Amino acid sequence: MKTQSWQIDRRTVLRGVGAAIALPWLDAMAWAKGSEALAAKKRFCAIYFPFGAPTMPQGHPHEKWNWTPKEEKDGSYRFGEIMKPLTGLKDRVTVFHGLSHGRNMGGHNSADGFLTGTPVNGGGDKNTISVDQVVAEKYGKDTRFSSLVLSLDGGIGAPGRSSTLSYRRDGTAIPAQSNVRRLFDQMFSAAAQKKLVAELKRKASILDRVSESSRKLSGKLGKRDQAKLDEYLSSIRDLERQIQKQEEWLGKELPDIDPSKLSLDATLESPKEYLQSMFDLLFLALQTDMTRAATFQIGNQDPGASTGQLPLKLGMKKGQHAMAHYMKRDDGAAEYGEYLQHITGLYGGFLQRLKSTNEGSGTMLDHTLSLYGSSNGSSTHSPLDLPLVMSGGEGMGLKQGQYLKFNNDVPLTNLYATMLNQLGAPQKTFADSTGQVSAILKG
Amino acid sequence: MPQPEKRLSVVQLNGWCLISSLLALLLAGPAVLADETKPAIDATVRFSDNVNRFLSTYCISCHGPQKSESGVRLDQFSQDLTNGPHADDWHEVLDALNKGQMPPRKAKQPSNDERQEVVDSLTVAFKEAASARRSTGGQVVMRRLTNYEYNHTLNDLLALNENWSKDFPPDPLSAEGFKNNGSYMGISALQIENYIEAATRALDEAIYPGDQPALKTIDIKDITTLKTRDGKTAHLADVTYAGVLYWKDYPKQGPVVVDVIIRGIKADDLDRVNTVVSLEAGSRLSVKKGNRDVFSAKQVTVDPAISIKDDLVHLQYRIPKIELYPQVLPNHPFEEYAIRFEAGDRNVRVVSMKAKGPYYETWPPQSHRQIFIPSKNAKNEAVYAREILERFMTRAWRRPVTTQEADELYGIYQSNRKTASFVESIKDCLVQVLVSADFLYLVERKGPAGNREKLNPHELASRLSYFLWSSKPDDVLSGLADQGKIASPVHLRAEVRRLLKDDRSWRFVEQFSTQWLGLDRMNTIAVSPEIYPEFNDALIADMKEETQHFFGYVLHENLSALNFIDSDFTFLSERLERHYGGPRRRPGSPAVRKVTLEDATGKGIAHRGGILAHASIHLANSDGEDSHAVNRGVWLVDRILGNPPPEPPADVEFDQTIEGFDKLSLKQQLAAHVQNESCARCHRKFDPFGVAFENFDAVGAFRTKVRKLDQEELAKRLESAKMEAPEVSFKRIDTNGDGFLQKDEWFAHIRTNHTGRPLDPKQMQGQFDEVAQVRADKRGMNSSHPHFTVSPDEYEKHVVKLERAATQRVQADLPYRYVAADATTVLPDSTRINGLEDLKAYLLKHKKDEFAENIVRRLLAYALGRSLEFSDDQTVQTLTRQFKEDDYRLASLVEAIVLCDLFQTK
Repeated sequence: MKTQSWQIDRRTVLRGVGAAIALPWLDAMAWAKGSEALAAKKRFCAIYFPFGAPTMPQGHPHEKWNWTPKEEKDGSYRFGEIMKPLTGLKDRVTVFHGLSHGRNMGGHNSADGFLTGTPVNGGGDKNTISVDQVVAEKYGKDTRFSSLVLSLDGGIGAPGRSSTLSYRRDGTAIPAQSNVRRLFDQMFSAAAQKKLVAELKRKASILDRVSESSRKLSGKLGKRDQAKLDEYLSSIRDLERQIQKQEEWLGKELPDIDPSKLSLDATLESPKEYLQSMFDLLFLALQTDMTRAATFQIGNQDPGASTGQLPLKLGMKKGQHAMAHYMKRDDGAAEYGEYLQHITGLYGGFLQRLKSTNEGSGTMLDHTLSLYGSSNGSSTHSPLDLPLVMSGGEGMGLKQGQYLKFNNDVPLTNLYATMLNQLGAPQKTFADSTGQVSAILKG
Repeated sequence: MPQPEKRLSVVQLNGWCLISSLLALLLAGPAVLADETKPAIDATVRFSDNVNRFLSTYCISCHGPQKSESGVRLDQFSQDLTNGPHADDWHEVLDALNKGQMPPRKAKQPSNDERQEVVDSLTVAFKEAASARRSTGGQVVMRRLTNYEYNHTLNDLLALNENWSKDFPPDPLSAEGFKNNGSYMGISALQIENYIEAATRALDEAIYPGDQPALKTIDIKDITTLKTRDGKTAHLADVTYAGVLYWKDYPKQGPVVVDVIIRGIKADDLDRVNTVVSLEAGSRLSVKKGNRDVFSAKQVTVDPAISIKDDLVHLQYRIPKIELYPQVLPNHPFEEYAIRFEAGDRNVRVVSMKAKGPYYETWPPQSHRQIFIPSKNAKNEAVYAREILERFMTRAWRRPVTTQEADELYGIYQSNRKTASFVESIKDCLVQVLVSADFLYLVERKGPAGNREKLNPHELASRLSYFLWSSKPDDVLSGLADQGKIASPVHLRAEVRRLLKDDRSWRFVEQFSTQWLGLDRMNTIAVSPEIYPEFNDALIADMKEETQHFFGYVLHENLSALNFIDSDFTFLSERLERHYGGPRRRPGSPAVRKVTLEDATGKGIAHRGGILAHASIHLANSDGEDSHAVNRGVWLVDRILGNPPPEPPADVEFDQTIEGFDKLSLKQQLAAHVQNESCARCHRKFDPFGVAFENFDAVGAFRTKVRKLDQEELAKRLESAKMEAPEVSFKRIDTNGDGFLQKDEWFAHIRTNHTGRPLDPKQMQGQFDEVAQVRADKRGMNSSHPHFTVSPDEYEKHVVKLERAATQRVQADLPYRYVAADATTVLPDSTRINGLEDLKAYLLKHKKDEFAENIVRRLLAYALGRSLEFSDDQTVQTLTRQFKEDDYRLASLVEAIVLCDLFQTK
């Protein structure tokens, strides 16, 4: 297949928004039956890309490709090229500079810990719960899916090369979805739901029988073996509970979404359509209250993974890993920046749609806190000074429209702890957090 | 902006951090709060006297009854690290002592030796506590199958060959690096769901209801006749070394067999010539001759079975399932498959090429007949069903089933059968069998007291087959268990030999060598494309195979394990041989072959004796840019000598505290480790070993010089690739100053800068036209100046383009600087050595015992599926002695392990 030439300009960004308007539009008000219920909703989503973003020294010809905004003498700031797609949303977006995970996080292994704050450097290390899952624990029972976990690679990857951002409280990875059609079917297809009913019934029946027959082993085992059997039986019970919840939701009405405007068959081979579809579904999932916690990993940290080739498929000259390594060299920042600008454009389109969808007395954006960024800071993939953007959620008491600078001495988990407070899922501490970031709160 | 709370830095705050985090623990930990009601001190467990003496001399005065600095009272901390509530607190104490943060500077200071002694004692205490916490009382914990065991078991059970556990959560690694340790392996709802789905898919795949599908065939003869529209009648197969079968009406299911007959090649040359077929999918929307673009680029290649008759070579390829290969491009409607054969030798002629499918050697296929067994009861559905279920349960659960168990499952079948077909009713029951604990776990039943007992025959058979095959026992082994003969040493020994001889023992070779030596770490190293532009990712697989084949050879030939340290052979693919600096073999022979090092001509290859010289080890223990003496040293003392160092203290920020650490040479960096006493305590035990590997770079190539990117030179070159600012040079070229460059001005400018061969006016004109192209295209759009001039904008674009090309040229040929690789090192016992050859000689001379015991321990831990404990020491010693007496023969050791008491008890 011939790749299209790489061009990102204002038109691409506009096209992103345009596509949004052309999409199957759904009246959230009508669907949710009553705006009061909606107004109280609190949602969180995180969007991630690997290997960081350019930070060129002041005065460098490619400084404009920096992630961080350019500050003026009067204290105001302008977005650089990468962030340009968010210009219209400047007062709804906060840019962070100098937040970091600890050095232990490592470089190539940091996606595992991006939302958990826990370094996973090898097979033996155990992860901890991710931000989105804390939210899912809190609100998951009220929605069809407790969370929506997306990534380009799907599955869970390997420790240190995670292809999911989401981890349960016990540190196990939640497999991500990468297939657009499957995702759509799961959420919106009545036919698929019908099939699922039968499938769930079958599973429930198997579990029922298996736990009964396996219980018979009890009493024939040593003490430690008995503990292992109990672990097995309790996993079965967990799954039974999950299935029960799914069954309860299956009886309920599905929103009617017209799939004809979505590219349901898009794969990474047609990256533009694919990425747009994933963002579309992410938006639709939140809009129809399928879930209130979502993550989307746009590429994992395995340089050999197919997603590392995403930029190549978009027509660029290098894979993302190589681009990140070369970003300090001559035009490397511009090259990498163009790629990130495209991704940011998609994120911007997503925010625009949240902003233009009414909910309660405001818009969905007021009730959706999102985090956009990477777990790497520099061209050497350090876990310091991470490129991070936060947006929306003013309805939960967040203050946006700021440029906040730190000095790598504040753990990113402090931001997470603060966000979780506002999301109504407060944690005593979150991973290595040492406090709160009160600057993001409305005074 | 309000100041957010800062992360406490150990380095900045010195002792304060310790205090405050201890304080946090005291405030937060419920275990500590409970202290108010009961005394924390567990008087029954005490640190050794030297530690307590140290504490009372240097610590208690500030952290004791008189004064509890920052609320920390060491006298109230339980010294029971195994079950007590203060293990974490003591860890902080250890770190503070280790880093010299405590006692604080103003207080009385211990000597270095005192500090060292107490740090060592505490470290040992922690190690012992960790193993005590994990202790299983010397018993094997009922463990679930690892993901790879699950795969192999399911495949062997159903006569299939697929990876069912691809999306399962990975198995955790034990402290020894093994995946099959029951204490570490958990299970979750997600995994249960994975198991249900995998079992369902596998059974769908295995069972073939209905009649045998009609065989479809295709012959290249027919296609070529169709294709030669231009009137040519020559038979394509007679003139070409390649052929393609475009197959529109391809079989949608089942295996396909491709037969290719070629001539023009001698039988001896076959292994040097590429003879794979590849399979592509797509559609021929715009097929022109030689246009492959519409087909998927993803190819799956298959190796042939070869038979030779006279001058004809018959190659037969079995493609297990055509639909699996390959994924179809999304935007190309999938219409047909292309089966492509291309010989690596242009003298080859394709005489004929045919394909047929779905091709089953038997019908129903083997996988179906494994479940729906041939039986005299086949006509009597009810009896047959019961027979099928009982037989499947017995095989899946690796033991005879009770009548009650069989009855129960049959009951479920009967109730299924009311609403579903015979096959579906059976299938549903089989899924249940495959999700039961009896299938997923290696269950070893015990009496109520839970005492040590002999394994029963079927448990022993399973333990043996999971050790050497990573799978269930086959019929022969289960038969011996049924007859109760398996426990007899004669039979057991014979079975070990039979299992090792079987192809399935490759699974043991693959898994054990990979886990023992930590080969999987290679996959997580990102090789720097700048330092190693010639590195090819395919090498990683070749490197892994070298080590695995090496291990397999030593095992299967029952050679001395000392070969791991040094040998006169290794196993190389053509690619890896070249990577090692060997001669180029004829291309297209990817197979790994045994290479005798005495015959090896390449300089690099001569150094490849033993696994210490394998690139897999070097790469796995590098940082992708350069060697990593620390990692390699740790690897050696841990994986080869069996003496893993303790974890480094928390929050080591050493590298950042030394100005310009990055710029120091390796030796200087390591010397810095040793200057810092808290680092030196451990690093002096392994760094020196790592230095001996310095003649091997990050990707395991032999070197005498270390290649580094010359950043300064690179910066210089990039600087010189920069052009003068376009505004400035434009003004200079624009001699008439009208703001545009006319042709004469342009030509003059070119001539000024030009040296060398005389310029071709046509070329100059061409370049001018190109630069001015935009103007030419927009002719008439702007009439304020004549066409065919270069505007400042166009000129700037031109300069940017030139500059980009120049920088790309620089990057295509990066500058390196070289420093001598220095592999001289002084080992902990003061032996001075230079390089890996010396190290190998040293190990063979002084460390044979440690090495032998380490191999015994690793193999035994893997065989048992648990960590070894103090109570196993006697067995380890006996086995080690026997191993040495057996001249370190590996297969003999495997036999001895299976025959030892530990292996046969639960």
